[in-house]
Amino acid sequence: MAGKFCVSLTSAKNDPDKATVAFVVANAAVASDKETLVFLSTEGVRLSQQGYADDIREEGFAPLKELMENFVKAGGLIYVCSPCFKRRKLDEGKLIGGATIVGGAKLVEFLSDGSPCITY
Amino acid sequence: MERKALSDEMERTLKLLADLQALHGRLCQRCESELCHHEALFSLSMGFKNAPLCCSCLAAEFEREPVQMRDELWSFVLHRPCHRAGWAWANRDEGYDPAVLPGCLWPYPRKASERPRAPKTLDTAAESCESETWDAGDMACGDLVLELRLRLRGMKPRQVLRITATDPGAREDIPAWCRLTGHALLSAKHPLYWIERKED
Repeated sequence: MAGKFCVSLTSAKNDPDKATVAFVVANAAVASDKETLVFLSTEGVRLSQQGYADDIREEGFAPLKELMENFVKAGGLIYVCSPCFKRRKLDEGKLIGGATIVGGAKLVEFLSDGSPCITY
Repeated sequence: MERKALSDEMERTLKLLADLQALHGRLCQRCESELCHHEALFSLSMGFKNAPLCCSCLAAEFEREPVQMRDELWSFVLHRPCHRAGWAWANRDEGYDPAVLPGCLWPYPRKASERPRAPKTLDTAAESCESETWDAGDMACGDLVLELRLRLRGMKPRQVLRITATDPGAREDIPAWCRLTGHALLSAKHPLYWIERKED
């Protein structure tokens, strides 16, 4: 069954458990043929930087870096909240593959045809 | 001999352009949808000068899918200089950028009521002297589109707003916002964007 699915993620190293589970769920959605988006906002935007997730590994889960790479390889989208990104003075040149900096309108467009959204 | 061939080609082109202009505003003889210039050209190509049909009805006449019919006729047009001239005229007259496929037939042939308004080109927008400018600086996300909404509301329909928006999110956000709201994005070359205000 085709359709869209959004995972909104607001955590990074401040809550690696949430960050990991968010990508586990996102991988389940993309594996189920959903057009899947992970929206990174507030602290979550730090995950958009190359190398940041390399040392996040929660017991019982695959390493976060691997989860994220698999998600992108499977066709998943990662949107990065622009003001949250700028506020933390992150580097646009160090964005991970598959990540795009966006503002709210792009998220609204994705959700506007009734996509479900789960937040971590 | 060469000169005569050239002269004949010019004559054919002039005649075709005159025929095209004569079909301006005509309705499809079958479904009564108003023909665009490109459909009029297709009808001329198929010998339907006196009883022109829209692309979908031409397709039905020849038992083809509309998209297949369009592609076959477009290929026919591309291979004939006088028809290519007619196509270029149709693009110009309907305001389509010659570098893109016209929205009346792409991504699929549409009836008049479903056609997008022919987009203004930047040249015509600039010529109209109706454009306004706004330097949004690094404004982003909700602030950017909310201010954009207010500014466009204060303008007249079809006026053009030229925006400078340096926020990296604007690359995705401004086109998405235009798709959501129905304003026409005429050009997006980050950080410059041209938006034509929609009708009320």
